[in-house]
Amino acid sequence: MKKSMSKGLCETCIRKDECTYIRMNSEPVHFCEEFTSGCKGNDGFEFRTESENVCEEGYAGLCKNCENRKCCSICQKGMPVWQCEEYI
Amino acid sequence: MAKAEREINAKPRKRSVYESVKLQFEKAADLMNFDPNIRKILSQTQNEIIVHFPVKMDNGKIEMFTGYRVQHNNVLGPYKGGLRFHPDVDIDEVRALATWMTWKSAIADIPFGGAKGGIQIDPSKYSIAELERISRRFAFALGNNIGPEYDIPAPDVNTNAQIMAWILDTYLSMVPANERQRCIHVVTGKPIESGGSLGREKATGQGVVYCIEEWAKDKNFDLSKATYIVQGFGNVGSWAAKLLKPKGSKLIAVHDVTGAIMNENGIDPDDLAAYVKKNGGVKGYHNSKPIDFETFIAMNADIFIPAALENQITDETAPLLNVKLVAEGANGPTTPEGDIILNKRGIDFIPDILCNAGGVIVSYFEWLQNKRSEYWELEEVDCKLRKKIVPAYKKVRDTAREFNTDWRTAAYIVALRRLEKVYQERGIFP
Repeated sequence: MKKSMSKGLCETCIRKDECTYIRMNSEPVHFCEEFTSGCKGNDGFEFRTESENVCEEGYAGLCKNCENRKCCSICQKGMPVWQCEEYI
Repeated sequence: MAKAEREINAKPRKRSVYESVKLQFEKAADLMNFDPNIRKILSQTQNEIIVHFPVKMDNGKIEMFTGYRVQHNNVLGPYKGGLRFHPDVDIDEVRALATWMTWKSAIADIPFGGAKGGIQIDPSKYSIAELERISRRFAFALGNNIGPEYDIPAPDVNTNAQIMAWILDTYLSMVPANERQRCIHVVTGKPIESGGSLGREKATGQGVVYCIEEWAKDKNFDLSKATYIVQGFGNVGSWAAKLLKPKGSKLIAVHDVTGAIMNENGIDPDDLAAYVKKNGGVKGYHNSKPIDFETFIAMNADIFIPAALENQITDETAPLLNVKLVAEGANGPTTPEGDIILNKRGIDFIPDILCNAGGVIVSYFEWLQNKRSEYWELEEVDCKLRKKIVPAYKKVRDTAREFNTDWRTAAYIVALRRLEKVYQERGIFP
């Protein structure tokens, strides 16, 4: 059993060089659960998530740029705060 | 012997995907004495839409793209099927996949027809912003050829929940403001926050496990003592394995894109899934030893779940299998020649068109939830999935007995009977 030339989905799959699936004929692949494109992210693209509101240090919402964030006892990393009387 | 059966039994040759789909249809139609007039109708697609549309690239230049939407049949309900972005997308492939969706919806007894579409594009060559504009402009070009009660796209190769959200947003922008909230179900496979359904991610694997449970009941087989092997540890394979774990079944070998591993004492699916997520494949997994493909395919186990790609069980590999059941989680894992050998060897198989229908069934649930403005709990989704797929399993099993045929042909007969009945009741206009 030999691996045949890449066809169909395999042509643009970034894992084609390491792929161990055996291709017994020259039919192009139309379905593959492990097809991985060259796009960002495992399943193709990056999803937009709430993480856009989280800055590099992990602070979210108003805390993201609050001057008190490092000494604040109220805010929690990753939890966005949208109303705060102490916000500077 | 009927023409279609002779063709299948003939020496293996290269067939286009559309030829393969038509051949299986003809085989089932011959066996059930399918109404010749309805056969003519179902032998062709109803609508084939090709759109050429311009999109502005990041560098300011305009590029032209070609998109397809093929609508095979909508006698049971709105057209339903995925959109794929791939350079190989062509009308022949899309026709085949659209036709296949008609059979799949009919077997699962959900009120959908069959469609498929896509854009001839290599998405890795475009930025996310360009892909957004391409997706939106494609949706605009399709216009009212899609719609929540007419044709409902879904994710497929290289498309995902984000792209569905863009298509949804573009479609909503094209309908009158006071109708927008009634059109959320124009696509399925949406992000949860935008109207997606809980349970969609594991749906196909869950459906595979429900089918295996029914098979075990039929055979009076104790799943807690079962051993099984899985090919492909992506979404379907890993979920099927994780959901079989509470039943007490033992995973003893896995083959994926990176290689094959085995451990006769059992592999923990949850631990392996975590390893695969981190390392990109099963290769190097601790608590197992590496094996080659020939050893994997010949493993002595009760159940084999092919959940990777097409044409893996062939005239070369089917004789090596050492299992009682093949539960087809992947699409098209068995060639027609492989089918013949499985049947000769008395190895049971649950055909892909039934076994992996969990995905389209939960897409239907997403569509229903959107229509009714409801959000179902995960338990409700699972329960309703079982109530759909188990009767479908029983129908295929009973039809196989009735026609003394294999389960794949029986599955097609179930689908064709459903379609035939509706056409006979409704007649042909005028």
